[in-house]
Amino acid sequence: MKSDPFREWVRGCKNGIPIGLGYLAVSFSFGILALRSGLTVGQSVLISALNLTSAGQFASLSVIAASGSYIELALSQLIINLRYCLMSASLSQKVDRAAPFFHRFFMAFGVTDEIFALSVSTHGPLSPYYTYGQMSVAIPGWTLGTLLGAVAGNVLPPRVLSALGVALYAMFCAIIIPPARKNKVLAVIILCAMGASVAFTFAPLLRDISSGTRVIILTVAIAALSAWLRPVKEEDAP
Amino acid sequence: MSGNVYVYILVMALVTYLIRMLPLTLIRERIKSNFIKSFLYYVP
Repeated sequence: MKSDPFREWVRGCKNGIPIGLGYLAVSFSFGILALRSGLTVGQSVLISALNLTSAGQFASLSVIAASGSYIELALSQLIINLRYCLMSASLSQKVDRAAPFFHRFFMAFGVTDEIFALSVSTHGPLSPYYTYGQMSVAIPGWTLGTLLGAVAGNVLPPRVLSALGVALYAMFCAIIIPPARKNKVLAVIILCAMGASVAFTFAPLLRDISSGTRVIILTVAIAALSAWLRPVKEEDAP
Repeated sequence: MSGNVYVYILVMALVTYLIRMLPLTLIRERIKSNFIKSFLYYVP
């Protein structure tokens, strides 16, 4: 079945609205923090427009503020964002084989936790336009939020800002809970992942591992274990 | 703050984009191994 690009794009925009709103809230706090780290409003917005990644951008602020080396910045980004590598690999299997190859270069820019989760959970092959739709809402949300945060950030009390940060988690729950309800194996895996991350946060030795590295270790370990114990049957594989 | 802020921004943008772009463009074939397929399915 050939899907209509425009329709896919509209569907992506619609489903991307919660992502865009969540990004607006999170990047708002990024904007404030960026300004406090000594960047200008323009530079903060530029970072958001070019990177579209929350953890990596927040981490970059501390490296930039501490005048770290370029190598240090590159390495920290590589480690924190290495999970995107796994997501892109997964997406490479999901993209509609009939779609022209150049789409992959543009889709790559939009690989974030949320856009990936939504793209990969669509039924059947993934139309690039579905991802573009999400990007058309998410990228302006992320960039605009940064701008608003950087401009108006000094007005709001810190308490309100941390409350906005919770929005990201709520949005993420909205993405992972529906598939978990349909698939018991997924639900169990998600619970294990949550348990393991708690262990990594509090257990001695384990808690010394940086959060970026932690995400990579847990993702690789849990996905490998699940793939070994419960191989996906041919028909539901992406 | 020493170092050029714009160079910082460019470095991070480049690293982040390459991480996302390389797997998506280099893996053109369908992956045959059921283990790898299952692994990628569970990545989210």
